[in-house]
Amino acid sequence: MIDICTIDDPRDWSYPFEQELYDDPFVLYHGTISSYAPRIEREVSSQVLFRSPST
Amino acid sequence: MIHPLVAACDAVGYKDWSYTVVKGISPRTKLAHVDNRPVYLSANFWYARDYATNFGGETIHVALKLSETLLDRLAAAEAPSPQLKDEVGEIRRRMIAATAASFPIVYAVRVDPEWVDDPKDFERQHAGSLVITEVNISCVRPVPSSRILAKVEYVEGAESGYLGPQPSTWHEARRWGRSN
Repeated sequence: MIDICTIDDPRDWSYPFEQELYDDPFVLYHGTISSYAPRIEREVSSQVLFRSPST
Repeated sequence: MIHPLVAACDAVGYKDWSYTVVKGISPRTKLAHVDNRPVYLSANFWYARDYATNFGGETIHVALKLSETLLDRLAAAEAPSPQLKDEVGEIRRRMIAATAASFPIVYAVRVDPEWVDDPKDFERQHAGSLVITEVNISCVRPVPSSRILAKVEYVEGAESGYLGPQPSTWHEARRWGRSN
């Protein structure tokens, strides 16, 4: 289950996640756009994730 | 869409920096590769956030720049090719349409140390109230679904920019951007 935060203020620069994640050096971040989310999250579940977009 | 765009560039011998990136000549990017490739992660949340603000994501973002400059080149050509110009224009429209309703998102992913090239990528160097972390980490292994822990969606968009080293504490990070 992925925790989802929704932010509607483009000027909100605050860290959105829990402290447990911030303090964990093995938690890394990947920025992308929502168009790719279904594909990323679907492929993640099949453990083949982060294939290049089919462009 | 990428490959026809690259072919259009090849047809007129147009090769600027964005061509190099999109075609995947750069060994670190390989954006046009269709096989599994390393995913780039960041230990700095704000670096990933800034990355997410690239319209269309990295591939489309760079491809749009390439299509724009290619169209300029075609318009200024001594022997213009209306058909090629139309084709590139159509590719550009399709790229914009495919991502027009998108918004930035950032995933938080927990990885294992052996999934990255250099274990030093996880090191944190404290400098006063800030902590310096590796911003661009190549993850060379597939990541199971359980490792995506969280996602933030900037449904109204997000201001772009990179704030540099991150605050050393979560409490400061929760207020980050309001006073710096």
